[in-house]
Amino acid sequence: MGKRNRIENELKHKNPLPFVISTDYYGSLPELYPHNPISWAYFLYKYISLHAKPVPQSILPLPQVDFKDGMFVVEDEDDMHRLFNEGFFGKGHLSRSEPTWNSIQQQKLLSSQGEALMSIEEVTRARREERDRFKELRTRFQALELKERQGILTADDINEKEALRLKLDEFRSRDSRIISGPSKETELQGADENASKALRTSSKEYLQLQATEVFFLRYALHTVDIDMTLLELFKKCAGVSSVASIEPRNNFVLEYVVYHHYRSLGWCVRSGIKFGSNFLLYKRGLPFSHAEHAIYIMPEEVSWPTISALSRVVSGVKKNLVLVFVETPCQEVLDNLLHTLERMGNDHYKKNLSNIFKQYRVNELIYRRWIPGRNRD
Amino acid sequence: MQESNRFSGKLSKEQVMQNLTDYNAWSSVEEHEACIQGKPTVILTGIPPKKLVGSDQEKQLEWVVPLDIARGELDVGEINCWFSEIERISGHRPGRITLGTQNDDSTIVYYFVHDGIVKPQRN
Repeated sequence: MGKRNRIENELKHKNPLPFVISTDYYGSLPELYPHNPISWAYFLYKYISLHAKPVPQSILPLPQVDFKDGMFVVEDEDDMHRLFNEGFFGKGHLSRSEPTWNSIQQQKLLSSQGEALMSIEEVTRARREERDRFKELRTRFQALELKERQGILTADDINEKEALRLKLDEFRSRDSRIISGPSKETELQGADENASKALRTSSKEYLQLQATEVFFLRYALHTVDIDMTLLELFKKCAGVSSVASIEPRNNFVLEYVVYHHYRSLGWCVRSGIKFGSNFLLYKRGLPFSHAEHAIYIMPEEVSWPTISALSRVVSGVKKNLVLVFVETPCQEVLDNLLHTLERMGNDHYKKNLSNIFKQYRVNELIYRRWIPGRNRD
Repeated sequence: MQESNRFSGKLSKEQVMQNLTDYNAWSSVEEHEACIQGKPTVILTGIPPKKLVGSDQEKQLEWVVPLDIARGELDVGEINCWFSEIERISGHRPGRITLGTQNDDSTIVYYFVHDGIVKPQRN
């Protein structure tokens, strides 16, 4: 990642969560000079008057989340970018993570030279194409090696083999992160056709939020608006029509407890489906570094072959496998709390939900494959 | 495992179709009515922009089964049903199906499901 990129990312992801802070909204506090009592008085006056003003979050419009066809979606372009840039919530449904599809399609249509900035998706595509070219050369090289062993190599073949060896070495030594921009002919015809068709029918990308994300944004931070009460949202996320049918090991409740746990500790938590786990933990966020840990919520009955397979997948991408054991309340305790939640009104939902989540405890273990012969230091 | 009922089969299908055409640049993506273990469902076909693996034919038709990850576990009997349903629809049992598993954050992860044991591919 270049320096320019790094600075851009610092600015773009300045806020770790989608909050507007009072000092950003009303202007920052004045400079304080310890030897000057007037500056003290002025500072104090400003400080107190800031407290008298309403919290910006309460007067500004919050990003709007809609529940459509069983998904939580954000359709407003600004809201999408705000939720993604400030805390990395959600995923553009036509992009790998950041909702970049709309702007890339527009760029593609507008710039006839095709010299638009490369998106991460295009970077990946270019890398894969390069890998395919490498494989073609390797196949040819191995065919020649076979001929050599059979003793039917001609002088031309020897020259070709030597040239191929040099090329392959060059491929291998190349830094896989640095790649050239896509040339005109590698651009996929189909994608462009589909893109223009999509723009004509004004189909647009939306940001899709996971149930855990929506619930965290609404219940824990209250930084989004959604057209339902907290209790309705809770039921929707837990996949039940009545809270009475929630069991202690309800999938959503377990996932939410774990999600909230790591978000509270400052981690950026994202879905781990690509590596067979529940979540991935990033230190700051996607563009800054790769995820270091993969989180797997232990089911009641553990299948060790599954854990072993998961461990191979996760260590193959150089991440730690964190096994999370969630202690749950018994059904009786939970039923009482759920009953209270339903009986008390709207104003008490948050407190009563907190009482439920407080019954859960999160414990973690790192699982690592250990090979005595290789891991001696 | 407790099942989540937040997703419907209809949704899986549409998002997988859109992902194939708009994200992966597949062409002629179509849906086919199917019936798996007594339940109506949809199986997709499409043509990838280039060969998915080296041994494929150019412009080879690919069968894709959309599946919601929250739905719970799969068994071999159900997987076998996909193959026989495709045989019923097209008159030909494919050697391979692509499974499009969908997560609630719209991530779609594709896996190959082979009809029996195949020689591992070289990476």
